[in-house]
Amino acid sequence: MTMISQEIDRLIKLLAKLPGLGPRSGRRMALHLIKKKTSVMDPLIAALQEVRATVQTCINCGNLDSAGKQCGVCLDEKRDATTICVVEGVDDLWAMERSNSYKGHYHVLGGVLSALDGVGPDDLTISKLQDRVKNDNVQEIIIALNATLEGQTTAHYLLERIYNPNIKVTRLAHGVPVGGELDYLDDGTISAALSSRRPF
Amino acid sequence: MQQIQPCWLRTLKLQNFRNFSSLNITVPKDPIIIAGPNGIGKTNILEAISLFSPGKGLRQSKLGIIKKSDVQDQGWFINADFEHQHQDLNIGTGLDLSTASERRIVKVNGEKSSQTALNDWIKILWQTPQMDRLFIDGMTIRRKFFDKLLVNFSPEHSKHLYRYDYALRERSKLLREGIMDQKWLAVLEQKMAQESIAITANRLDYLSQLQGFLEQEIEGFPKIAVSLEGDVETLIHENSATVAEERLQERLCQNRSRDSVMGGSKIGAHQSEFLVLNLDCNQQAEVCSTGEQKALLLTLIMANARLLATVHEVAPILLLDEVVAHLDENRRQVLFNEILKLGIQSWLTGTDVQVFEPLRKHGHFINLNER
Ligand SMILES: Nc1ncnc2c1ncn2[C@@H]1O[C@H](COP(=O)(O)OP(=O)(O)OP(=O)(O)O)[C@@H](O)[C@H]1O
Ligand SMILES: [Mg+2]
Ligand SMILES: [Zn+2]
Repeated sequence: MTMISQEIDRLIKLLAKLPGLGPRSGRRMALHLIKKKTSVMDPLIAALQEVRATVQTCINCGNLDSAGKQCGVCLDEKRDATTICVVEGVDDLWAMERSNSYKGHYHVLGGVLSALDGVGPDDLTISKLQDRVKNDNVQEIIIALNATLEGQTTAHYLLERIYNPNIKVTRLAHGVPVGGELDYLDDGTISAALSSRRPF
Repeated sequence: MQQIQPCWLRTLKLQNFRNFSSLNITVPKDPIIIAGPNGIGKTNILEAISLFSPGKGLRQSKLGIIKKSDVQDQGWFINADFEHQHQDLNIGTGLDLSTASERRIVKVNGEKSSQTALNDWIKILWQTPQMDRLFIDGMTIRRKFFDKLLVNFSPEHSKHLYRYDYALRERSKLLREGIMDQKWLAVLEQKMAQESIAITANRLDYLSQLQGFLEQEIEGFPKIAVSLEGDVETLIHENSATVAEERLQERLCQNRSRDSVMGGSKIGAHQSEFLVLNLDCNQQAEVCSTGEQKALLLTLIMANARLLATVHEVAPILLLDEVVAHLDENRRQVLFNEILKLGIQSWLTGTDVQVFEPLRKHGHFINLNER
């Protein structure tokens, strides 16, 4: 690696560590950036800095936004605060938003239970969800976890933890294939699964 | 008897597969005999065919090991044309090194598909020398053997096994690490109970279907009985499915402290034992002679072939690696007759071409030496 300057090498290594990329794509991206300094690299630097400075995790639901301590969804008074849709990650929240068929609030769990990976209830935002259920006027909780084995175990576990006779708990109808992650579903599938959701 | 739907392999192409850089063979539906000296590649060909079913094939090898050892930067590929219920079917599979993941790719009629989907098309049964210890080695190996056969009849079975295995592993990990989260454990135990009942019901149903064929008189071959024993079986026999499931969940809950010390789980579908009894001498298979055990295994495989062909109407492809040479002359003749009668495509290997002489008229002989 003596032929590559230290600076470029560092960039390649950082890029290669990004999800979905590897050394080969890292090299290609670095080259591309360097070749297109003004048209690609500068706007990228600016975008990174801006996101770094403004985006925070919503203290209420766990969404990412630059609106302040709370996110745009939580602050939007037109949205229905009595319904909470529980998702695994922010990417799933985005998938739901893209489907344009849900007008309630969210709760980002931050993962799923997995003893093997060392992820337990305390690593997820479950007690925060319990607080929200207790304090806010919640009437329905939609569990929209992925249909993986871990997702389903977590869903059943949540059901036990948030049990309250006054709250309806539903799940997305089968439209979400086993192992299929929300983020990969097209918008039509999500809205169909939402409109035919059913009690747990 | 219903109409058996034919399914047989017509052409087989190998590329970078084991000792073959490339191989291209065309065969008829008749029994195929591959005879030749040790190390010429007989088992390798059968292994290739076995990879048209889900899983790791008849050698249970890792994908990388299959690649011809002296080629670099290339994967291995196999492709076959089948006649499947009077239609053309093409299946290709292999290890593609240009993708990052070390997974077996599968294409059906040129379209990307999955290993599990292979089960919808082709059923392949095999007997190899590696299976000789089936009745002697532990109950786990025997359970896996029967579960694999069962998946031919009920593809859902592998999903139940997978889900069960997941819940069992998660619960064991929690107990091992002393994470006594009651609700978490309860959710996992509920899944274990539910899947155990489904798995066991599947196994019992399969065995009751198979038993008729195991008792059928086939001259010279032992008749056998296969039974399944374990706590889950007892629960199912004594209760309705829902009650059995509840009882099982209770037992799992009671066993927590025991399991946290001993590891695993004392009860569940992974503890069931398949017992094989030789009805001719009323002895358990493990105490039978080596030759008898081979014959028992063949009886089992052939019973599965007949069950698939008659009740489920799909003809399996049969791979018998080095089986024929170990049978006495009478049994050999009976096996050949049986194969011809069933009309399922069979691939037979051996070092001595002499033993296949009775098939000279009806069989197709492949001589790897001449290639
Ligand atoms: N990945 C590989 N690359 C190259 N050669 C291999 C590979 N794997 C196995 N072989 C070779 O393939 C040859 C044929 O093996 P195979 O087991 O098919 O022989 P066989 O004809 O069944 O012999 P036997 O009569 O002893 O059972 C062996 O010499 C073995 O070393
Ligand atoms: Mg061999
Ligand atoms: Zn929010």
